[in-house]
Amino acid sequence: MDFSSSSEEKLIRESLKKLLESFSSEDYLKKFDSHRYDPALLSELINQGFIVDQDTNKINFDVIKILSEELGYSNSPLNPSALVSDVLITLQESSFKGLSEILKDLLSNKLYSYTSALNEPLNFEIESPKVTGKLSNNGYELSGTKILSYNLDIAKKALISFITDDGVYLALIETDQLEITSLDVTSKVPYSKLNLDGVIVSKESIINKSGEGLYLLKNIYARRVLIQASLARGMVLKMLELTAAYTSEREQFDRPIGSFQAVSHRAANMFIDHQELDLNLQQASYLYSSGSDLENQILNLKYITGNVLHRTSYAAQHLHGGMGVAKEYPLWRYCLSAKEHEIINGNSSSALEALSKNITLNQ
Amino acid sequence: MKIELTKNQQKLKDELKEYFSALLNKELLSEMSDPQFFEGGGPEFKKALKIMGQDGWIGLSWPKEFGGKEFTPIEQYIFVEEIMRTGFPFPFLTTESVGPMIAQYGSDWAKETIAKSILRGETIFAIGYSEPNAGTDLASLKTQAQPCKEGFKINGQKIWTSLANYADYIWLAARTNNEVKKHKGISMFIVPTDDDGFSYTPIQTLGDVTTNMTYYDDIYVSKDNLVGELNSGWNLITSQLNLERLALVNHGPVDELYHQLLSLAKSTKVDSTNALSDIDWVKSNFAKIYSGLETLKLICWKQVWGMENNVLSMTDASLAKIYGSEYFIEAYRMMMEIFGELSIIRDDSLSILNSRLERMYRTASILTFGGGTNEVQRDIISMAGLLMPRSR
Repeated sequence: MDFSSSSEEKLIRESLKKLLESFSSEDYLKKFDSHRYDPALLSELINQGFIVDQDTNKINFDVIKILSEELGYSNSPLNPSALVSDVLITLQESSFKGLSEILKDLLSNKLYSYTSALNEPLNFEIESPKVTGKLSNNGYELSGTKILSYNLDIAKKALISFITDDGVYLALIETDQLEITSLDVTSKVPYSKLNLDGVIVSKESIINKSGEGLYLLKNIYARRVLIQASLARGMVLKMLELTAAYTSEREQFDRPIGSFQAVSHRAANMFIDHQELDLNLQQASYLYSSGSDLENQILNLKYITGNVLHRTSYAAQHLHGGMGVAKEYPLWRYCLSAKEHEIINGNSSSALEALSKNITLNQ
Repeated sequence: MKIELTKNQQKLKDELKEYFSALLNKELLSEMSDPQFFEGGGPEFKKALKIMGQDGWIGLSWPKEFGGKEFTPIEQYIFVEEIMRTGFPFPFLTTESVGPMIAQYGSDWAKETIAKSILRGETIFAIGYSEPNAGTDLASLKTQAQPCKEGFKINGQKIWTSLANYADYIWLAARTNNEVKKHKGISMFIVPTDDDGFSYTPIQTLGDVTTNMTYYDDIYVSKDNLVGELNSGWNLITSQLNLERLALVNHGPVDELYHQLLSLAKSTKVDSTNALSDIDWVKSNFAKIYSGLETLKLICWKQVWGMENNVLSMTDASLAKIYGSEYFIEAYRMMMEIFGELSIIRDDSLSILNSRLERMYRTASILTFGGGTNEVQRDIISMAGLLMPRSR
């Protein structure tokens, strides 16, 4: 049993903290309040080898999780999930041949040119797409809609999922001919809607062999939850630190409000919540790295991530009073991000339901 | 990072399961289901404890020179987990916290006589800390130990002295200096319960667990009965309490009950086609219990890992105590909801798992205040973990 971080992990974390300092001052973040995407940060992360390991030309998911924690902590306007985890790692583990060209493009242009479009309205399980594909002469004719596709408006290609009579397929398709609509969402993250009605997907753009699609989508879901929980871990830690510092200084009735048990105990509950998230994230990460079966741990992690984000975000706002919602103080951005991650890729209730089915399965 | 048991630790778990399954014979199981022996002390309990002593299972954390196994905290945790799964009232406070302290800080007499007899499974301790006016504020205790020519003369009264009705000794905190700050004038003593000055009156609790009020009337003990330095008892108390808090929230008993109830729900039909476990809200309850169990297991594992690597903080022990004790209450509630009215029946013919759940829910509330009330644990987290000002 070992709960410690390796010296390599610590080094990566320290380097990331240093890098993110220059990209997360209050004045800097303000520039992205109406459009939460920072291309300069992505470019710098690629330059410094945090996205693609420049020695092996591969993506190291352990590094991506640490990056996500630090992005969550600094509340930087960048989410690596769609580009790095959904597209690059999936291509890495699929039978797709063109990965090296994509990596070359990414390393030279340093742009968010590839994304995924997997979420659908009122579909709480990304492993079971509702977009359908009907066999046609050139491939599949699609029908349905995707939503909350990250940076789809600037991407050249998008990884999409659809279901056919022959099972689930994933395809990497050009975006230039697609009907894309930008969405105005709570956190101002650049998400888009994608109408796939009548779109023809060629067989060449399909990245998986028959029967492999569900496996790839399950892995995508597991990594999305791990990244979300990592972002959440960073966010919750920052909200906790802000709350402890604020309540230790803010005085009412001639004493710091943190010396009232009603206040300190709610902060202590935030600390317990953070630990709950942290430990379950560590366990699921370990199981993912060791290639173990982790379906229940991932569902449990999603359940816990949503609960913890919800509870800590509202506790932090409440304990700050008016400052918790004032835009002159940094907490408000964390609260909007917390709600976004609580509610996308399924939610606590849908994860609990799926977990409950697995547990009570009468085999 | 490696968050799982090693092969050897898993092997130890299997070995313990097998050992306890053989040890818990029909007579012992029958005694364990008798309310007067819920906390141990019966003839079969004493017999089993001696066998465990002979087989080398007591003194797990103790040095080998004492006859111990020098187990790591993780292996000790596994031992407590497995024995608690069986429901055997193992006196771990004696063997795992008081015993090692006597072995480390006791006089030569205490090391030779008391410590070795604990290892043989022949000696049991009760903890004498709380007093009628010193509970959460333990440092306000008033029981006095005055120096005299025999050593010390002890007078006072303790409350909630569980196991005192059959214990051989009390691990007693007494005031030895009234002139200094209250937590600096306390010392620890080994007090024999066969002394004429010792007496007790039982206190019955809603969980059918009997605890006691204990009285100390001019009890003379030798200097050999003092453990540690005079007036340095507070450190021994806090170290002991950290160990106690972890043992109190071991995930083993609830995990065992969860698996038993899940299996029962799968095999119990509610109509011609559906099992109890097919009902949606039942599934949801099981999933919530599972989720909490995973977290509790990880909290406990991290704590024992912290102990092994000397990185255990005060906040870790407090966090485990709060999470575990509050989770138990919720878990038992959800388990009882699943089995509805059947879960409150004590009658053997209809009870669920021989009323184990019914009994466990009644004892769970002790843990949110016993071993240091959860409010104080939250104070510790906010002060030591979050560096917030002291609560008033």
